[in-house]
Amino acid sequence: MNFGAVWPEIVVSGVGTLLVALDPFVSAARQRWFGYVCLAGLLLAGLLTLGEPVGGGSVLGGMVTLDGFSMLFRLIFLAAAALVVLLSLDFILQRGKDLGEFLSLLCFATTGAMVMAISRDVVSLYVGLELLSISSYVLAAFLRDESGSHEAGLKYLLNGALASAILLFGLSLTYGLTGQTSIPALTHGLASALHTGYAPVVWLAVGMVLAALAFKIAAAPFHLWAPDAYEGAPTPVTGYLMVVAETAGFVALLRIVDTGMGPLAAHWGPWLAGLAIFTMTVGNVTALWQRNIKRMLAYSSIAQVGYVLVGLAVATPGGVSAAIFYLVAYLFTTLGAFAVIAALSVRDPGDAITDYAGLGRRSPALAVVLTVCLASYVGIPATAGFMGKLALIGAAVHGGMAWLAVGIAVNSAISIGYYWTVARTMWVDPAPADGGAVAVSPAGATSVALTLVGVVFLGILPQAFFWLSHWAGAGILR
Amino acid sequence: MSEYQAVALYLGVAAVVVFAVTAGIGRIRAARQTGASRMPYECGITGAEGAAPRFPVRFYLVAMLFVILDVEAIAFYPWGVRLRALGARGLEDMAVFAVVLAIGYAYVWKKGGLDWR
Amino acid sequence: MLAWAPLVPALPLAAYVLHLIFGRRAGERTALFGIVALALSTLLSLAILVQVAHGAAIDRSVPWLRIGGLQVRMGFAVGPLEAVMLAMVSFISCFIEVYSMGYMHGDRRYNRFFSNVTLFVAAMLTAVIANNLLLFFAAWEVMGLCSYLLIGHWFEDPANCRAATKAFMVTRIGDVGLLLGIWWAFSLTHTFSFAALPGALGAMHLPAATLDAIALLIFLGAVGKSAQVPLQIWLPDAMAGPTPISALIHAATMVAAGVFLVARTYGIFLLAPAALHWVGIVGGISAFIPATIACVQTDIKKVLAYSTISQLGYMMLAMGVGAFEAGIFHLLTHAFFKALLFLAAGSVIHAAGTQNMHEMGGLWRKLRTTGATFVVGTLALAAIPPFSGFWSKDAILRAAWASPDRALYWLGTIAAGLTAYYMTRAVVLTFFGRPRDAHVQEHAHESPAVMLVPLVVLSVPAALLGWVVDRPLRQLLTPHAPAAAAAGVYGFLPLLLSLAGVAVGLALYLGPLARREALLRSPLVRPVYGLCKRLWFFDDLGAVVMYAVGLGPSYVIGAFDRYVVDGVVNGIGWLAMAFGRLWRKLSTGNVQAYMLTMVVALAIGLVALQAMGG
Repeated sequence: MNFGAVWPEIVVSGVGTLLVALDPFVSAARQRWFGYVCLAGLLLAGLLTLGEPVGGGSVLGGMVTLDGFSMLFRLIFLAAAALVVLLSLDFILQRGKDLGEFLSLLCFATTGAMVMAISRDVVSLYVGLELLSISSYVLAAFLRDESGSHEAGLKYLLNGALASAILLFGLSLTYGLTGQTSIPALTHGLASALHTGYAPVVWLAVGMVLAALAFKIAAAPFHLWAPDAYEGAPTPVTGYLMVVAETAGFVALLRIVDTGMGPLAAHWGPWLAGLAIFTMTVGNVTALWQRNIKRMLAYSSIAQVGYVLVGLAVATPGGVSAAIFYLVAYLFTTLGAFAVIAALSVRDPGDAITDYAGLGRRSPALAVVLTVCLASYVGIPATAGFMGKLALIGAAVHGGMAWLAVGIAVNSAISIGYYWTVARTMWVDPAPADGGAVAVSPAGATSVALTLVGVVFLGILPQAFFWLSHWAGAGILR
Repeated sequence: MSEYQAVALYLGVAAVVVFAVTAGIGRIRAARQTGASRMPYECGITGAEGAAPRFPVRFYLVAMLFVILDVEAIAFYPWGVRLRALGARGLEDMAVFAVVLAIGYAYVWKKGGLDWR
Repeated sequence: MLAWAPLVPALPLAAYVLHLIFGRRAGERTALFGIVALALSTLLSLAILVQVAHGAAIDRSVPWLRIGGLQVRMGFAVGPLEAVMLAMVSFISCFIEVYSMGYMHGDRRYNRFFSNVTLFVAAMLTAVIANNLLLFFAAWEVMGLCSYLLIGHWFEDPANCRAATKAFMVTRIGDVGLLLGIWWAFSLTHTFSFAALPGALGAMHLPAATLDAIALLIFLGAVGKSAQVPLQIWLPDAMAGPTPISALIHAATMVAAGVFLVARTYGIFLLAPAALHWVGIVGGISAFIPATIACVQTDIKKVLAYSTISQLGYMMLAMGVGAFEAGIFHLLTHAFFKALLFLAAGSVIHAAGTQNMHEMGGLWRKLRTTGATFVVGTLALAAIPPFSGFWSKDAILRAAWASPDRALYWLGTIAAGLTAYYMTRAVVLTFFGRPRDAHVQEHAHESPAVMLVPLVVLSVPAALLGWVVDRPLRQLLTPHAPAAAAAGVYGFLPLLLSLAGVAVGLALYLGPLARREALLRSPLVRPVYGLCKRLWFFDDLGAVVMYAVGLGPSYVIGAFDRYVVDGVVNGIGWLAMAFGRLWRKLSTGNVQAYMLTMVVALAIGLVALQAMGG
């Protein structure tokens, strides 16, 4: 057996293990350098990923494939993890928590996501998903003295366990139908099962897998856990869950549904389309009423998930690449917003939108970045979100689902309402009397700057990433 | 479709039984509740306390740690059975597994997870 | 060298970033970022101009975006027109920033001022070298934003905020037209490129009405930005900004962007002769009406503002009668002498502490340098030979005479006389005669050298440029054009009227006050005076139109919005809440409820899948 293909995963989980081993022997106040160790490990893993030969073939007994899709998503997860490390250093240290524990959990979760990205077998994919999920449950409950965090972890765990069970049930049905766990092999097995009288079981399996993955990406009506978990979890973790956990859910959807269940696209396509519209509408409409910025962004992320689902629902190469592009845009936008929120909440724990009053005066730089991120969420030109929506709308129109494009447009218009509230609060409302300038650490500033560069770069020169997402999505559809 | 009808019938029967048991149990039990009938069933022995006693949360922690390490240790068993067949490569793999497990154990120990204070 | 052209806008853009990062710490040294960058840009653009004069040109682009089968390219192009504009804009802006160092000294938002000016210039230069309408439009919008910020620089006074908003909103009307025009042209040809658009449109054999409509929509953008009738109402109010801004944006560069747009898309206009004729008509009217209004203004900056509209009208008129190179020529000379006039007026205001000319008078003794440069600017604007304005205006009116629509010639010629009159009036009221306000006279003092040097520097091209570049520029822009037709006596008429205007101005305003008052009482003059004083009712009309076209429907739309759209939105919200309540009944915020919902949804989904799929 050749482990060469999974060296990046080995490195990341190795860093996690190393930090667990070191953590008890270094006092919490002196753990800042753990962060740099972790960053170095993520960087090394990234370099190893880039150094790997890209071939569509399978390795490790067919469990793993190294195609463009797995390469791109590994890098996406590594980049997101590195950004979260940067924005969480001060947040965790300021609260006197063990950074080592936090970072090791982050590494394990990232390993899980990466395993999902490279899997071409439902078993390894499921193992990756569980590694990611279980680490995420603990991360959500990381500030265990705070009732919100506690509650977030527990709710995430209970709902997540149910979803995992349903996924496993669905996958075991597909195994029963086809005798296969390899995703490409499912393609033929399911198609033939459909015509040999097992159609009801096929639908049962498809429905269960869809529903369980809809849970993982927090698509309505399987999203109910998300606002509670995202609001209560520590701010950097919320950013991580929104980006990595949801993107990993999409990875699984793209692999299992678009590839493994690809021949059934005519059947599940309308369901995903309905899910997309319902999700974006519920997310946006509910976000309108929120007063807490993390809860608002939680609903906003639900709406974004709805947009990405459009790309999956049309199930054309253009749709898949648009979805991948949007996920990258969403990564930078969300982590940008959370970099700002985390930088602000290093000392100030207030997450109410009214706490952002006068931020434009207290810290113009942070306010500008947050404003740009909100603009990107809305889809204002020269931001990543605009290009993403452009691609999705284009894909929907070309894919013959123009009504989805209309749905995106209408929902974007609705969403201006709540994003605008935040922008207005920052720039127009007066700062509270006790609100001085906001100090931002170098690590925090780096994360803010990097995400801003990402959002603006994707908004102005998107071509390279359009090409990358097209390349990555090319092998997905069968 | 006939095999699915059987499944449907089975589901129906299961549902009826569950409903019948949960709804019927209240109707057929003794009307009067005495001290003994409130106690949890303990194989005929008179219970020492009620069904929801308070006990230290540390018990959970230690019990859980025991279970985790116990289950991990089971992984040694199949390896031990096939020791010769797996050869040096198997030994390497098990060494990695044992080291990781040891790190976890050291972590728990150092963090005070095993202290019964 | 030409390949480095993008550096011309990139340098001020980099300076803008430096302003943002170090501005607050640098204090008033912050001005140097912009000035050094613009000085380098000026040198570079002069070098480019020399190369272009020798026949070089460049048009480069890279693929920027590919969606479906559409490819959008981004890039820059430098030809004769662009090279001239680059040199002019960077040169003038550089000196205006130098001047501002003195004028804005001690301002509370010194850094903000300089950063916005630098960004503005970067945007203007970007618009000039853009080789496609998309980049041009982006830069155009940034200019609009900077203009808004700079007009409202002293936002403590609500009047300034209103002026800034008015400028923004009125130009926005034009921008909407421009955007529609751009999209229309793009949807037909699938290109934004300046170079490719006219050919592509021409090759499609479109109906004349379509081409006219596209050209007029683009022209609408130019009308807004260049303050042409009827969208001119924002420019006089924009004088609320600091005077260097009036010089830079509202005289020399931004308003010129509208004319530049017409010049840059001239190929499209040539395809649509009817639209081109309308350009000329709007230009002629805009040259004439504001000139009459300028005759009765008492605020020195307002006089210059109306004269700017009038001069921009001349440029549009030139475009409309096919004298493309004459329009650009006038754009160039006007940029120099109008920047000079505004800066000199700024120096006067700086000295006198008032903008009302009736409170000035006799300032010549105190402000020799300022006065002399102001007079140079006046002579240039009044088109007295050999000052620069004469050459360009003469070229325009000759072309207008040669065109089929001679009414344009007459509008321009009469306006030339009015121009000479109101500028003479302004000079006499400001600098000569008896001091009318003792306090102003006492307070007055010559400005510091940092303000005077730009004045002196700018007065050289204001005086000489027309004579020097007349031929070379025509050679450069339209090498193969036939020589302008001789206009006989009508070629000299504008000059005669200009001289007459100067004479009348001198006679009226050097003479006793009583004579002027008697004249005002005469039944012939009074209604005209009233009309001009009332700005030909344009602002009133604007208000009425705003109410009728803007606010009227906005009530209807508002009602629609409130009752129908909000109804739908609220309805959806209510539905979501109702669903929420349904779930809540199963006990909300509660994990069991979430899981139950999930399982119920799954069950419904599975049943539906079975029903539909099986």
